[in-house]
Amino acid sequence: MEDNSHSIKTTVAPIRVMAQRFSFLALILLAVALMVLGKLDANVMEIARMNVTDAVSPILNVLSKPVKTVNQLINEVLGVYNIREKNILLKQEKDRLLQWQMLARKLKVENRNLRNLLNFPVDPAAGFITARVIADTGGAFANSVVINVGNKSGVLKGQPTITGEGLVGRVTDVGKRSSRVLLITDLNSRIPVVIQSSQARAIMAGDNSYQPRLIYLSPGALVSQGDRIVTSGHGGAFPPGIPVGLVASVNVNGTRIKPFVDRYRVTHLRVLDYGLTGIVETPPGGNKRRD
Amino acid sequence: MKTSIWYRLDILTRLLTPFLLTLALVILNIIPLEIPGFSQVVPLMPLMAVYHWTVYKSELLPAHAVFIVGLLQDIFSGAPIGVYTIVFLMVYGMVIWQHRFLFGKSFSIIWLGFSIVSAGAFC
Repeated sequence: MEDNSHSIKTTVAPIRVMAQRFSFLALILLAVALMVLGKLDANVMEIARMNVTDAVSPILNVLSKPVKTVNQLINEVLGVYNIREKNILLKQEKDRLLQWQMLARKLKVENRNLRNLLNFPVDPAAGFITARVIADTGGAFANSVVINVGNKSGVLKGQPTITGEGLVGRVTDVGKRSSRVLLITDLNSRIPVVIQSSQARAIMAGDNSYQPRLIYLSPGALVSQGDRIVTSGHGGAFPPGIPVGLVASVNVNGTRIKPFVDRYRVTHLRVLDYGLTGIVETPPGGNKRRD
Repeated sequence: MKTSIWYRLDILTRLLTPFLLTLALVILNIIPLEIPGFSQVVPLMPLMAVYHWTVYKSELLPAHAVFIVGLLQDIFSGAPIGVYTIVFLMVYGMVIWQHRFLFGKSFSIIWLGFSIVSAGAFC
C-alpha cells in the first residue's frame, strides 16, 4: 500500500510540474496574443480598457480625495507660515498686472475695431468642462492621466485639455464617467505648433522625457532659446494659440521645449470644446458629436 | 459546524490575501500623490509584490493571478495591453526557475535577486 502511494506520488509530482509549466507557457502566449490583438485592432482594446477604467473610476475618485486633503493641509500650513512675504509679492504683482490689464483692454478694443474694419470672422468661443485628475500613470511605457469626466459630461475624443498655464494633452479614450488624457510628453503625442515670434511651423513630438522635441521644423526657420511655442491649429485637431511652452535648448540633436504645465502638479484641468472634429476620426457608432 | 465555516473562511482569506494585496498595490501605483516628479520615479510596486509572494508563498500567487494583475496594470497605466502582463509573468517564471536557489536565503540575497530581476524587467 505504501509502495503504491509512493509510486503515485512520484508519478503525480512531475505531471503537476508539467501542468504548471504548461499553464505558465499558455499564459505567456495569451499575453503575446493580447499584445498582437491590441496592435491589430486598437479600437476593441481601447473600448475594453475604458470600460474597466470606468468601472473602477469611483474607487479612484474616492482614493484620490484623502491625498488631496493632506496636500491642502500641508499647503495651508506653509501658506500661513509665509503669508507676509506672499502678501507683499502679490501686491507688487497686482500692480504689474493692472498695467497689463489696461493694455489688454486697449488692445482688445483696437483689435475688435480692426477686425470689424476687415470683416474678419471671429473664432468661435470655446466651451469647457472642468475635470479632476484621478489617476496619474507615469511610467516607462506611457504618460497619461485619467480624469473623472466622460461621455455623460460631453467629453469627446480628440479634445484638447488645458490648465491656466497651457496645454496639458489630448483626450484619447472616452468612457462613461472617465477619460484618458494623453500628455504632450508621451511618446505617441504629436502636436502641430508654431514658434510665436517667427510663425515658423513645426510638430512637437513627445518622447516620454520631461521636454518634448520639435520635429519637421520648416527649413531656415530661426529658433532660439526662450521662444514661445503655441499650438498652430493646423490639421484642425487643436484650436490655434494655446500656449504650450518655451524653447529650452537648441543644438545639433534638436530643439527641446519646456512645457508651461508642470505635469506633476496638474490636479484639475479643463477639457476644451471648440467644436473641432479635426483629423481624429471618430469610430462609427461611438463618440457622436453633440451639436 | 461553526468552526468549519470559520475554518473555511480562514483558508479563503489565506488564499486571497496575496492577490488582493498585489491588486491594492496596482491601484496605489496610479493614485495621484501630487508630489513633483513622483510618478516618474515611483517604483513598479506590483512587481515587488509579485516577486515577494513568488519567492515565499508561490502556491498562493499562481501564474494566472500574476496574469490578471499584469493585465490590470496594463489597463490602468495606459501601456499597450500585454506589456506589463509579460513583464510580470517573466519575473514570476524567473523566480520559479531559480526557486531552489532563492528559497530560505538571507534578505540581502533575496534583495539582490529582486534588483537583478527588476533591472531585467525594465530593459
